[in-house]
Amino acid sequence: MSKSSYSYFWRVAAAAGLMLTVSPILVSWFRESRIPAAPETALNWPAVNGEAWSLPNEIAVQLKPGVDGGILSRLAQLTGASLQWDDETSQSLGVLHFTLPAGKSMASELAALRSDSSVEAADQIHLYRTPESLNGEKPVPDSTKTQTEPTKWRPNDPRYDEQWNFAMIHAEEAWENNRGRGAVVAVIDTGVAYDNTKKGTRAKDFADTKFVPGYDFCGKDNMPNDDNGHGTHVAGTIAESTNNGEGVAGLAFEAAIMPIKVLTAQGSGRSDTIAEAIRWAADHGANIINMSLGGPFPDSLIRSACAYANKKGVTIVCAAGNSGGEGVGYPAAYPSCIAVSAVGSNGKLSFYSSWGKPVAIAAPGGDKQQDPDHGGILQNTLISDDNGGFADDYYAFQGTSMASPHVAAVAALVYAGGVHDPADIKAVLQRSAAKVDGPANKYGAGILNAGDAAHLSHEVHGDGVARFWMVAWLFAACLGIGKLRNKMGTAARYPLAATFALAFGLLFPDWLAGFLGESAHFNIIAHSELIPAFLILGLDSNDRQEMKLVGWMSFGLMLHLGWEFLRGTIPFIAGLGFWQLTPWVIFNLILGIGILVAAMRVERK
Amino acid sequence: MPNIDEQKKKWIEDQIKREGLNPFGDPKSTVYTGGTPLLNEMTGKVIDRFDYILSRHKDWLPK
Repeated sequence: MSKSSYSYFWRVAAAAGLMLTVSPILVSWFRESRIPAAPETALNWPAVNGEAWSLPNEIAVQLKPGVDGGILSRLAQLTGASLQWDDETSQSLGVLHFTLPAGKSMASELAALRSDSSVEAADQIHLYRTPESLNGEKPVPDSTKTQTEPTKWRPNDPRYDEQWNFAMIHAEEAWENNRGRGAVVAVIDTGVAYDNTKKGTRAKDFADTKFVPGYDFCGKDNMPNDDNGHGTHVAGTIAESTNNGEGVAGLAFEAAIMPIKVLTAQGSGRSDTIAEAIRWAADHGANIINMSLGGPFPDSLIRSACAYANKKGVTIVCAAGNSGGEGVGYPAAYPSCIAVSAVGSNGKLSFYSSWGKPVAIAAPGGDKQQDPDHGGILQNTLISDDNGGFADDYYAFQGTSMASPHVAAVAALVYAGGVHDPADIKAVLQRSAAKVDGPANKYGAGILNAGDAAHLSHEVHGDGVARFWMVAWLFAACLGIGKLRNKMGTAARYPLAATFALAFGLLFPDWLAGFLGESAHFNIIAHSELIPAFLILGLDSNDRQEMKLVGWMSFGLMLHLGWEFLRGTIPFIAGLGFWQLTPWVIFNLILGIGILVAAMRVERK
Repeated sequence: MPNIDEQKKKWIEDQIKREGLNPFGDPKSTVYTGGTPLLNEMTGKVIDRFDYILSRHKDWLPK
């Protein structure tokens, strides 16, 4: 190898190293800048929020420790003011206050004081007042101000602390990213106490919940009020009004609920009605469907309706069933649905939960055998009372019906985070699930983790956008440098083709994943160095220009792969865990470096 | 609900097959909250499958 080739190799290697080192920092910076600031939870220091005034002629001086007793007379001479200690405390602290003598300038007086060797600080006296003092109101004690983790936002719903299920799945971490805004979740159930109609009322803790029009397939009208209580409880887990000082919280409380009634007041319904409802929801803008229902038999109508909705981009989440044994019910067992098993507050499978191969994930469904007093899932609902009316209160239910809406709500958070494809949402949910020491046919990928799911969806979406902008800046820089070189009369052209090749490497895997879906198996090829490896083998190795382009493409793919690996957003290839993925990533990075070096070493003819 | 012997249980199973019902004695197309009528999710109470079936088919009760 010639000396110039060596030099070129090391320059490229150094640039690659630098880029690989810098890219995670850039991504981290980009991500941090996108995370919305958490609401204030601590009492504000008056100096930050209060209004300040200056007393026109009053000066405060902080003396350095250990100054001698003659300081007062020396400073009096300097300022022309009469100086004395306010009291013993001010003397012990070394703080002096005095009034500026008439005819003296504040600025020159302060400058003189600050230049004195015994003065640590001197300034005009400021007054602060908090906004509360303006109208005479006293601050109201707020329990959220005493939380041990002030950076995390907590809703002020008075019974929120009883929702152990939200703590288990790290709901507060999820809320740091988003709260489900923009997602529509269809609750196909016994209806929802969504509004005051001639058929029912709105439950008290749904006052701020967003609803989109639904349908009652039992009564054949557009008033899907709940006459059982089950559907409202389910809807509550998803989007009960939150931070409204009432009751409890919902998980994706900024998402909208589409109430659909298919089950009667007795809690049962017909499969054809349900199939109809699934199609209706898909045609009317639902992004997620929750079905906390099922039966022991497969039904072709429901199966095809689920496939239809899935094809339209709707994620379907279903309760695995309450048989307490092996055998997941339908529709949960269909491949187009996400089957959810239930765990209690200790993270163990609930006594009633069905289990089996179709189980994709587990979520809190409650188990009053594990914890008789607090083992249920607490939400607001309407339950028929003895007087023929409905009691509007908070009830702790248990069942896979309660587990399913946890997953549906987190699916809504993932959707709101920018991941829309049902297979991708399922992949995010499974990938972020907390691994448990138990069989996959009971817990699926593990226990739902809302915090990690919202975080991952944020990264999957945000990083793709970041890469796009990185390439856009690359081209802008390319044009700018080209123009500058032309202006300077430099003969060398800026390598526009190489920039294109680098951009292809950086963006091709994103583009393909967006086109085929994150869970497509072809992603493994698009994210690997296979394409440049084949190109370099197939091309004329003496064509320096072509080889260099392959080298830059390889470099772009390497950057992409390294980036996704470090961020944990590598394409979702089912069944590949971290330790299975790591050798593949390392191999591809080594192969990429090899291709880059080989391409750059081709000598000019 | 009255206790029923194994012979009666077998008769009920056969009757379910004859009438083309689901294991709970309801029409095959029936779906339930939580997938089964045997667990009351609101109260946490579990009922026996034969008790549920006989509550739906009073005419099947032992004479």
